[in-house]
Amino acid sequence: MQIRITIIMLTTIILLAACVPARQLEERGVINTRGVDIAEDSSNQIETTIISYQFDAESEEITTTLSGTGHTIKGAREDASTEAGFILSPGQIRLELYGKEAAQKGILPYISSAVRDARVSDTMLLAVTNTSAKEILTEGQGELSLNTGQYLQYLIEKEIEEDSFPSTYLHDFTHIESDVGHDPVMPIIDLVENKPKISGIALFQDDKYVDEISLQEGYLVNLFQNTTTSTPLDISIPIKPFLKYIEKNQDINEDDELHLHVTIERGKSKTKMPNVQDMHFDTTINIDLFLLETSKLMSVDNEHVATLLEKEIEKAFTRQYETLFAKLQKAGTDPFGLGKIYRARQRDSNLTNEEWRKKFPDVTLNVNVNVKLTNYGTIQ
Amino acid sequence: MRKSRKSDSKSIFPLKIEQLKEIITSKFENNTDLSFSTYEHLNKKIAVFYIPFQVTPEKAENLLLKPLLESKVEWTAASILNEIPLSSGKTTTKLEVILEDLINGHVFIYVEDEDAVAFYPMLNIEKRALAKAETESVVIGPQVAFTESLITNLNIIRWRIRSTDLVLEKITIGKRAPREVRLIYLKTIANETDVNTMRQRLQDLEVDETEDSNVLMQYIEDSSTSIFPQFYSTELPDRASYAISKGRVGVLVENSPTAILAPSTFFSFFESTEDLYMRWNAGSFLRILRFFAMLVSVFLTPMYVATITFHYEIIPPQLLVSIGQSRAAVPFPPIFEALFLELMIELLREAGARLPTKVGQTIGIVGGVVVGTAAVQAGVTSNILIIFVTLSALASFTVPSYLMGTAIRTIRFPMIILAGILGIIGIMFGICFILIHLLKLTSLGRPFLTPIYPFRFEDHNKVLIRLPQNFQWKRFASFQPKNLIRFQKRKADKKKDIDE
Repeated sequence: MQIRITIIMLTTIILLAACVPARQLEERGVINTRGVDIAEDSSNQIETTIISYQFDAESEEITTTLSGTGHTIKGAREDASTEAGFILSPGQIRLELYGKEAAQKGILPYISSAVRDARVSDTMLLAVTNTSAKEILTEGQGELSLNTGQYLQYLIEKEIEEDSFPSTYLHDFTHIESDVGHDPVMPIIDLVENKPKISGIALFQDDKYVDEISLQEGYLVNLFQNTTTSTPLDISIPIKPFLKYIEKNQDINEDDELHLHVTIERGKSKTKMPNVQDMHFDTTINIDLFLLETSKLMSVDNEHVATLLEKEIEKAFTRQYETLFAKLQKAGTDPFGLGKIYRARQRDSNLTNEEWRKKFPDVTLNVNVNVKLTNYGTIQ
Repeated sequence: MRKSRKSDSKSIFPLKIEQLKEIITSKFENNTDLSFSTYEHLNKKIAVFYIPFQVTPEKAENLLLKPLLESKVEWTAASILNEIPLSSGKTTTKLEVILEDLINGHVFIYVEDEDAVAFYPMLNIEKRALAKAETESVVIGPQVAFTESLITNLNIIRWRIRSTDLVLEKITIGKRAPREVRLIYLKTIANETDVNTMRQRLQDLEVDETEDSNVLMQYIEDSSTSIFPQFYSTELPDRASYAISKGRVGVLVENSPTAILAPSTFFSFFESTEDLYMRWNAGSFLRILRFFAMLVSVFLTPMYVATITFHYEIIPPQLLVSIGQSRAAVPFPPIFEALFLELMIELLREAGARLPTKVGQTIGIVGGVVVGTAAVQAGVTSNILIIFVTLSALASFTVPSYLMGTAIRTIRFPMIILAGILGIIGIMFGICFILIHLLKLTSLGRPFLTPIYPFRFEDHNKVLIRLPQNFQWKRFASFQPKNLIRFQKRKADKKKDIDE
């Protein structure tokens, strides 16, 4: 009996083995980074630019850049693979870049292709490029010793690690995108002197790229939603209140700004909606920060200066939030996720994205920032 | 069987010396070793016969022949026993006993026309001295190992467990070449069913002979077809006495340097007595390390094969390039590459085991270093795989039981093949297969995977994590010892130090 079962099992395994396509690592071109653009010549075609590893004992070069066009992502990939002696496999994509034009048309079709493919990792990074993705990936190489894709990954991952902007992994994007009353953001990659760089944060309305904010504002968006730790930040405050604490013999104008470099040790926010009818939100943000550097030599040796600094930084933050929120309302996108809070406050809410878009411009937001200067280091 | 045959036979005495000599030499035809000498003493003929190399000759001469011939007593079978100052004398009338005990190193004295023959054990057992344990060597704790002499082994056990409860039951196994086997247990602690089962299995065994305790073990194990040993075979007396004192049953076989311990669980094969001698935290760490090593040993190479062949997406991106580059030079599919390297390691191990120690070391260096590096440079294997194979070979040697270690090494091969044809699904298939098998296994009728399955919470302070000694106030409950409580925890905890 046992022998019979064993024989049946073994035959099953051997027969089933044919169902699993075996393709060894070195026979594959493992895609590392993929760029998606609208094809230049015909607007309903996609052009992908692929940076892939190919393992060949003979050649030193392990990465190659390929491109192809097609009506679907996978079609474009097949087209690209005609250039390569390897089978292009998407299992190790770490970064997907969307060209500006493609992002403005909506990236959901591309995202869903990635989500459907079980081999594609959920922790793939997404980003938008200021030009076309192809340009970034091909011309961005420049003098970089790493391949551009890898370089960009490290760049974006480092910023996410520092909480400089909300994390833009595939699963974050799909989650936020499908939430009602919450819009995703993504970093924008641009070429500066032939070197790719994060130039700002792209605002999305659902899956469409609509507007752009600065990196600093990207941090504000992140702080609004998440608890942030150890984020380096530059803040500018008016110099006037600090004149008497600043060391003499410095060339100072009263209208100058005092630039501070701080580390936000811990930032936490809480948003409440006291009254559903009047569409008003109250946000309290608590920030603990270390002061690392000031643009003018000054001494922070008594409590008075520290409180003064705290107050001015609070004001600066509030001001920045006000401008940012006005910008967001103008663009009609809600990366703060206020709609989510609104929806949660209502019983049996069937809020749709369209309804929230109509309501969003009338929303008022009051941001109350509490800054605590926990450490001013060795600045004299 | 043999006993009943003995009682049936009739006495062959009284006889003339010549007759006796004829009978005995006829039974020992072509055996020139038998020493049969006749003496005259007070007008009586006395025959002394034995097999010289089975007997200590000085003993026979000084203790038997001297008093026998110098004394003025008139010898009869009864007076020999009375007058010769040796306590172990016996008489017999049966030919079978004479023949059997001649082989077993007895000296026989027959006075002509008496109706019994007297005999004394003057055994000359050649044995080696006690030595350090080789296969189960330990760093701290007792180093001595069992030897081939049953008497020495029994002596060691007795000295280690000086309890009147200790029972050393004698059972003889083998029809053609009978061999003495001892069933050892503590009668107030060992579970009676276990003892009875073991005794039954030993007594019911009808074989011509048993070569060694490891052979006997295979006869009496619950599943003789399984790849896993179900009884623990150890050469360490402290391990044996520890198990026996906790209520398990031990079996010692004559001429075998290993003891059988039963029942055993799967986990007990990964325990070393060293874990007990270490501090509890270090002991627990080592034990967990060994389990981890077992998993590494079984799964590391199959995982390599599976990921390279099917699941390249789970390779960490930092490793991807180096694995890919070193694989690119290899002309074989990963499954053959892995099988080739694993076989090579097994070859080295086997060669090392067969060769004398000094040569073995050289072979290890030549094989490991030279062949390893050369294989990578020649593009036969990838360097990542060399690391994996070496690691898993090393890991398999951490198992204290050599038998279990070998079983684990053997399992790796079907796992690699499964991984090569079905990927991780194949590995999962293999895991399920092994797990089902382990769940079905029993050791002396007790589940092999206890205390994990069936789950027994109270035993978990002894399995993966060994809690401090004073927490171990219960014996291993899964084996249902007669007396579960070892000591009162409260009393053991109390330290009666004098406060200054």
